Amino acid sequence: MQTRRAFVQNGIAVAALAALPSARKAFAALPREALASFKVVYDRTFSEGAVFGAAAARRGAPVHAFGGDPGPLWMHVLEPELRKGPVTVAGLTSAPSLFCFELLARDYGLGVVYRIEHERIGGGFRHAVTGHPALASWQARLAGDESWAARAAELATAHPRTLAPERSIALLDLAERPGRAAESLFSWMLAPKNRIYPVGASFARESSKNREQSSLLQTTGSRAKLAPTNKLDERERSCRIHRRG
Amino acid sequence: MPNPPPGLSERDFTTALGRIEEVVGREWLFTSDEDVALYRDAYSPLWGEDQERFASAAVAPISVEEIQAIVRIANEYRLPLYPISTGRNLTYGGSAPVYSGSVVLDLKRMNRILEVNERDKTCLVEPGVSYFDMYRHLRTNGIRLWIDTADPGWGGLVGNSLDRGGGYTGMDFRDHFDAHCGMEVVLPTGELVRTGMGANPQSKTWQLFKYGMGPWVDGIFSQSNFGIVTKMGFWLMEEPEAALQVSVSVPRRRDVVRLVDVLHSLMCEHTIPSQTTVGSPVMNGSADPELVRLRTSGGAADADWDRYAQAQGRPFWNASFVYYGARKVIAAQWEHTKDRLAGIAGVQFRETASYTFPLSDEQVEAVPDKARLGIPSLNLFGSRNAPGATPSEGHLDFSPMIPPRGEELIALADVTGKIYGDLGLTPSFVGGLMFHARTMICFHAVPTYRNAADNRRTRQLFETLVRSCADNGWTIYRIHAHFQPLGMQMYGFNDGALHRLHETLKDAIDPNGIVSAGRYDIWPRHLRRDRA
Repeated sequence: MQTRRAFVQNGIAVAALAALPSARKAFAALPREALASFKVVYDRTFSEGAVFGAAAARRGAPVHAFGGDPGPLWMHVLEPELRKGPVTVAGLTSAPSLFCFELLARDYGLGVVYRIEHERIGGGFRHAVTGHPALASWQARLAGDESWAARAAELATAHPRTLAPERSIALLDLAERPGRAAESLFSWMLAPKNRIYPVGASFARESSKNREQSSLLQTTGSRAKLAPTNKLDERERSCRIHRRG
Repeated sequence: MPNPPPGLSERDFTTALGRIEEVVGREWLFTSDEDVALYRDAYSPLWGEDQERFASAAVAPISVEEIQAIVRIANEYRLPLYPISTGRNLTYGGSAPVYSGSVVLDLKRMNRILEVNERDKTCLVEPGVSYFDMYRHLRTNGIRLWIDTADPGWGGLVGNSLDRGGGYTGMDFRDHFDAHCGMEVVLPTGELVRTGMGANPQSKTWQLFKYGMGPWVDGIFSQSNFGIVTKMGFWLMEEPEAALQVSVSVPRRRDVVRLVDVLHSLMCEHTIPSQTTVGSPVMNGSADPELVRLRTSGGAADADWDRYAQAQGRPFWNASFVYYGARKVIAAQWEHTKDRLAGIAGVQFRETASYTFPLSDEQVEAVPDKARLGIPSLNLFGSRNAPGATPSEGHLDFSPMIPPRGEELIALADVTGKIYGDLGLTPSFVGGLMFHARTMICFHAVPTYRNAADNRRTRQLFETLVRSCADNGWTIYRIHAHFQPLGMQMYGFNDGALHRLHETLKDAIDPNGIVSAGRYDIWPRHLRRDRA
């Protein structure tokens, strides 16, 4: 039953896995419309986040910053976009922020394509890839590179719609990171699975319609009656807003 | 196909799920390991152990009628259901069922905001409406009403209210169950009920007057398993002209007695409208060995503590709260507060933030303490980014209630500090949060792990905290699903008469025991024997 413990170990063996064409080459070939349902997010409270965001913006990606709290970005940018349809999201954030995005986005059917942990070690970083086997070579490519945040943005913008989520990657584990979470950054990508989830694709359309109805201001003085029976009243299908008199 | 719940044959389980699929459609029934794993308790204190609780499947209906149909099918097969709204209250168990093998009834698709009445300052929502949804709706439509949000704000109004969560704004709004007015419930038999004035189909006051006529039954649907709430009304706070956030600090440990007495008095006379937090910049310090020694000693002398605080250059206690209203009134309230507290030697007053409403988007973004202005956020996670932030990992909330008295806060810190120390752990502290009118809640974040050895220690710590605090009269008000039997044991007056009453109600309302078996240790008759 649900006893499967789906964890992917950090640090996929580089030699055992095939590498993709270089990111630069792949990006050059990427059609502009491929970025239409794509968002790049980063935490601007980290200098590496700003480097990542600037690099992604230079490559034409729609970039959104947040300042430590991922809530407003989710509430005002990502969730409204996900309610319109599938979106691929890539980012550079802390572990807790990534945890929030993963947990919220999975209700819209998004799963993890990859995570790269960038762990602060002394004055540098150690990089560990979890995710699509084709990306394992990035572990070696980022090692020792002082511009790793810009390289991570290259990866994020190079393959936004070509990779499917890895089914075996469970929600980011905050529990095993005492003392580590604060020291690590993560670059990552979440993309739509081929499945609808509780507030996923087909619902998104319906919800969007409801929201349009909700925005219609009703100024009638008395409140419409709610259904006395078990059957839902049609008037409940859209939100009523009663303005003060 | 997943494994069936205990006691249900594979054939019946398959048939029941097939009939449920006919109700909701194939896409809204989740049976694969990958899908069902989404309902796992991310902070489980039993992670990977045999006792960890799992769902067998999940179903996401869109309407009351679909819920009724599912409930009727569940009754035929005695299929256990576990309703969730958003299921994101991770520190109390998330979306994992109490009874392993239950089918999660995921109500996130039912996320319509059915009504916002600006004149009456009320709303009516479905269970999938999150604080994010409601805030966005009010702001997008230029409605100058506030929600009172839980923190973090990714939860839902209905679920948080039913679990008796709390927030930060005005007294009428921050006790989320108290702020509700009227509900609609699918009973375990499938019958639909509206409570309070909603029982009159013509009523114009369903969201205005709570009680209706006859027994007021709303309370039995909170922290329970007597029905599936499908609509709930709430009172909303009118946006004030202004807000002033302030802090008051006092230098010595024993000053907290006078501080809390006065603050509580000011709250009771409605001078201070907001939730008031009393914390200790000294006791919340780093893991300095001297601090750990003082904290785990079980009762270090005030003089020792005061010497330590002085050496650290910090005030011992700090209280923070917010005034909402007209500027002139706020100024008078703040002056009155200062007058009342002026007798504490060394007291310091500080205005930390001032707001005039409405705020622009940029101003909202810059608010550091968003929940105090009814703005949902995930700032609790963002704050973990700082080096050395705690908790940096999963955790359970331990939530004892104490009287609003400084000496009780000191005693609780002494008792709990020694418990942590005896187990070789660094104490988590402790602030007193006055969510409710007559109590303080003293949250501790007890960490959880992904390995059995550390989690065993966590469970031992948690159980010891619960029992010791109850022995001192500090009973918890809410608890993680795994510890609910322990929690209810603490309510054992007259050999558990209250618990027996709960189960008497369960038998009457849910004879087949299909809704949330075991929630708050309320078990259906056919599962009680296994639990004895």
